Amino acid sequence: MNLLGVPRLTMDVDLVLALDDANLDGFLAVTRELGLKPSIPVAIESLKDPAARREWMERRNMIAFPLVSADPAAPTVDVLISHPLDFEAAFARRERRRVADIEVDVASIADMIALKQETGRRQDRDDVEHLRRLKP
Amino acid sequence: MNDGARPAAAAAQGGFGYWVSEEQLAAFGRLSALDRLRWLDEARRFTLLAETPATRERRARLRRGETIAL
Repeated sequence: MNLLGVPRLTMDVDLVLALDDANLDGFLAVTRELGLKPSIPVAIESLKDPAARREWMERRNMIAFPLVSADPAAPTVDVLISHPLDFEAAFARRERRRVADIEVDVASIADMIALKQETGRRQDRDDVEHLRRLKP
Repeated sequence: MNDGARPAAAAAQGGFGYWVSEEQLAAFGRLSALDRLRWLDEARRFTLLAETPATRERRARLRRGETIAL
């Protein structure tokens, strides 16, 4: 939201990942480097298991896999495991922002709206309204 | 669920609402990406500094799309 232009306080970073093994292996290596661990009682490697993800979605009604740092001031990183996007199409539509010397990929405004439209949370409804007000 | 996992929100409308004026949107739009993230991180850290167990629980409830009305 903030990188797209809406000032909105959040305590989390949401990630949409390609859930293939190669990409998840790379992601797990980064989580180890950053010291991120699941806040739920499962091994982080289970993120790679499609059956485990399906079970979390269907039995626990989970939409995000939460990762936390040992530093209590660090933000939670939520990996979205249930969302309406076709990853390849959304990745092709991504927007790029330069943060200092780092290129950061963010979801397009249309995809952010798709992610937030059906959640049932009031803050997501307001996010959609603000995203629609952004000037192209 | 109290382990930080974000569930799909319940059918009842919960969470929190907010509104940003056109002027605020325009001013924020003029900031660099780095300054936008600095603003966010400062606000986030301030919120954590001021947090109590009760406000932490309320924040968790709102994040899950629940209400905090008594």
